[in-house]
Amino acid sequence: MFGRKEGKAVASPEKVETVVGKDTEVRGTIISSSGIRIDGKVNGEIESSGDLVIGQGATVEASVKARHVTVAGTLRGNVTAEGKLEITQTGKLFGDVKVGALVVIEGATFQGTSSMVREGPAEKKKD
Amino acid sequence: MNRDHRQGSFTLMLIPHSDGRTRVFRLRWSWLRALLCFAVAFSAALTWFGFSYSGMLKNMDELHYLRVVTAQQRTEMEYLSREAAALLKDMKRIQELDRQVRDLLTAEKSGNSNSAASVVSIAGTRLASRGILNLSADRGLGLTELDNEFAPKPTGILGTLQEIKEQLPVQQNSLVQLKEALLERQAMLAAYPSLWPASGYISSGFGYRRNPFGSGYDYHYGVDVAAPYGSPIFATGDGTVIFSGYKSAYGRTVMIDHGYGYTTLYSHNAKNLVEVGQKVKKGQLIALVGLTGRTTGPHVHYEVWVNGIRVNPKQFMTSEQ
Repeated sequence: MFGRKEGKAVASPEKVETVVGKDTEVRGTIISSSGIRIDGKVNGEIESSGDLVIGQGATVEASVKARHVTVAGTLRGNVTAEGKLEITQTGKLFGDVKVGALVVIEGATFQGTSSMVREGPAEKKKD
Repeated sequence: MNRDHRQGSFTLMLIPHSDGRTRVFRLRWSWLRALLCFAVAFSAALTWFGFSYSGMLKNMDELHYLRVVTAQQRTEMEYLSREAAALLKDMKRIQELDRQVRDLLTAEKSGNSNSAASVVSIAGTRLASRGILNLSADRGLGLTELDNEFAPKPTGILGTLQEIKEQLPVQQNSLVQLKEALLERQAMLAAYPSLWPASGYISSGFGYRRNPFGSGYDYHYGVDVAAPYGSPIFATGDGTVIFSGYKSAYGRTVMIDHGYGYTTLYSHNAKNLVEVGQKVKKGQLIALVGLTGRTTGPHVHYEVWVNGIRVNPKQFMTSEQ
């Protein structure tokens, strides 16, 4: 039932189709055209045209590229997000970011430089 | 076994698109099936409940309506009950009146020792033997109970109505008999020779008298009412003419049978105006005063016979002339 839908779906950036569970560790590069959620450990590189969520308790040491990024766990590495980067109350980000929009909630940790994507998400949406 | 176990279960994962914990549930298909079954059963139950509830709402409307109706009916019932009790009381009153009328009728018997009253008394005893006159006495207890009860129970209405229903025909029968007795009495009174046979004065009374035609005494079995020649002679009571003709010494004579043992005789008439077998009413003109037979002047010789014995007519001539 679900499998059939999955086969038909070409790219669904809204949907989270990949979950790295909290007892899982990935070493290497994750490339996906849909949403990714990390609850475990990733060491390497993450690239997604969808959304990336780094859940609370997750530890990521990687350079990240995605449309929107939410950090609730710990991320060590540079972030490139055409859309919005959000660091929640429990989130810790150590690295430089280049984003369309930046949200840092009170209590969050952000250590690094940030720069904005020139084009902005609005222009991206026109595509 | 292991394979079955794997096939029998699945993982349900709830992944937040923002921060928030991922939740993982391991479920069994059988649970889902059970849940589905439960859901179906629940929705079916809910539907059924909904239907029955809407039905119940309708019933509630009806219930409210019925409550109002019942209240109204209870009021009506109480009203009817009171009315029925009142009717029963009226009934008792009528019965009491009935009894009093009977008492009056029978009391008249003892005062008047004539046969007509005995007819009434016979009717009375007949009714008494049937228990009609005793009814009031029998129901006496019930009557006092009713009097004591200010608000009769609605349930008592059937009993009260039943009582009325039972007593009405009895009362009707009683009244019918009373009516018959009264009609009988009326007939008797009409037949009773209470009038004067003619307008005049008594020239000769009943009993021993000096013979008007010679010496000595004889017994005069009637009264002579003197009146001018050709004056009207009236029937003194209802009856049937049993003689109309000429008798020696009496002259032209009319005899009327009034029933109940009464017979009257009118003689010395100038002319008889009735025929044998003719029904006459009290006060009807039957003859004219004359001088026929043995007589010394115009008068009507009037006799009253009671069961074939001539008695003094004066005692009967109670009515005004």
